Amino acid sequence: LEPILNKEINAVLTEVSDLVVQVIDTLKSLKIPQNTKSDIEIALSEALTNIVKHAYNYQKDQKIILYLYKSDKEIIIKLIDFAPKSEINFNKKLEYDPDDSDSLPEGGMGIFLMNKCMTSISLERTDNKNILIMKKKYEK
Amino acid sequence: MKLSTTELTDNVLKIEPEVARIDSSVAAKFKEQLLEKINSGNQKIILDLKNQKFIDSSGLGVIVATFKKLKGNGKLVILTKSQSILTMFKITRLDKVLPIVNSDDIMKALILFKEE
Repeated sequence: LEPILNKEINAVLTEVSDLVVQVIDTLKSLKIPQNTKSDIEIALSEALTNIVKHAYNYQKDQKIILYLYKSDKEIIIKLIDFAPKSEINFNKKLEYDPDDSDSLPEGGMGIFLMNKCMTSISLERTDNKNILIMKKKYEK
Repeated sequence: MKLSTTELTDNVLKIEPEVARIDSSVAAKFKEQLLEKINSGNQKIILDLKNQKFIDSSGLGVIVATFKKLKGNGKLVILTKSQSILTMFKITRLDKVLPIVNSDDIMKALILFKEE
């Protein structure tokens, strides 16, 4: 499968924002359903932000590489970073008591949202790179 | 990031963020500016998201922080018709906790302040 988009950005939040917009614009041109695009927008934004904040700890000169693929059934996003090995529990739940306003979450929602929005997520470690692969099935 | 503000009846302040997307690149500034409005005495706030089509978890976190800050002394109402933003509130179940008006009609948000 050949990528339909391949981009490299610095680990900077404004570049993350621009890259997400670029991916969504690419999906729009491919007539991917709106719900699928919205889910991918959420998951991709959270995944990239997670790399900048937690994997790279805001080191601006570090790089993130994105590959976007489309098959006839799913959209595949591959994100590569060069930070130390990432350990992520993708089954993390979002637990709080809705009747206790102090327990409402102000952060820590990113991994939960990625898992909710994508069909599958996996993280590999190869040649000192973290490779995050997110897949989203879509209806034609 | 700029916030546009309008003073409405009954000391309600309408705040409109002047960005297309509320994400991690603007969240810190967004929070700082919202808290500044509260700290300068505004306790009844309508956050009008009619110009936004996307919010990420950083933006949601800012809204939750604002809600907590006003809880007990004031009120925050969120006005949005964006399906993407409404989906974010729904996935996180925050739609069950935060006062969200699925409309672009400011009157529907103002009514919630009169119900108390």
